Amino acid sequence: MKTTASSISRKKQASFGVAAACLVLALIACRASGGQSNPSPVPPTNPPVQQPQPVPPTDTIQPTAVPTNTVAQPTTAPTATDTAEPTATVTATPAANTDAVGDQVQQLLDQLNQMNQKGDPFGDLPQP
Amino acid sequence: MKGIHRQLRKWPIALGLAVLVALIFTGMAVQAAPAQQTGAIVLENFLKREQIALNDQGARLKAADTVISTSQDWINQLKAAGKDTSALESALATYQTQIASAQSNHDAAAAVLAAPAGFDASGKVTDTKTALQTIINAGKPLRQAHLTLVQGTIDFRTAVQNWRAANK
Repeated sequence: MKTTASSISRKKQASFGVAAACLVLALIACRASGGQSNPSPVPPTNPPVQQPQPVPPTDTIQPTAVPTNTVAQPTTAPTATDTAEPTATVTATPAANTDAVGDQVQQLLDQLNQMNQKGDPFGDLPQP
Repeated sequence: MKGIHRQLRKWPIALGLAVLVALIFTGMAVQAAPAQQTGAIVLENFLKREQIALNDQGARLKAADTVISTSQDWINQLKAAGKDTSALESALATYQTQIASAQSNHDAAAAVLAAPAGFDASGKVTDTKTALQTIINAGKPLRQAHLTLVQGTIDFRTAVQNWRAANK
């Protein structure tokens, strides 16, 4: 049993040694072949990536200018509608004057209705 | 001997029960007097509330009278202008009847509360049964007057709104 165990460990050691040797060889090969090519690709790739980034800020400046235009437009529009509304009320006031007594009746009824709606003051009184 | 010992052991329990029952009965007797006092206070509070409600309702009935007279002026004005006021006239006649009914109930309650039986001049209860009957006798017409006034005002207000909407 000891012999088989020792043989297995030796096999493992051998395979590990082979793998380590392959790894060392691969690293050496990489340094030898790509040692000069590695630094060169990195700088060229970075500038093109950085160049598009400044472009969006220039684009964002343009949209900010567009909303300012859109905000300015509505402010002019409501002023036009506000000026139109008083003219409508001016036309309504002569109609109210013709029915002043009707308005008074309506007002009195509203007041009385409010007084009545304060609640039933006799709801919890003892009933016969 | 064992039987005697057992009977002697039961005596303290029986004695304890008897004392408990006696305590409960005396407690009920002691509580009866405060219950009568609180009942009197409740009745006195009801009397005050009914008197306040009567005054408030009197003001609302006066306001209803103002509504009726102003509405009559308005109808006269509209008629003179050649408008059809038949719907308004009908609604006003109904309102007048309802307000008259409310006023009659209000006056009945006022008569009871003018000299409330079972209470003294300062509003303290002198006879609980009579005082309770006074509260009931005043409360019923007061409430009926309130309900009639409320419903009549709602109906007439709706009729006025509808007429004005149709005759803009």
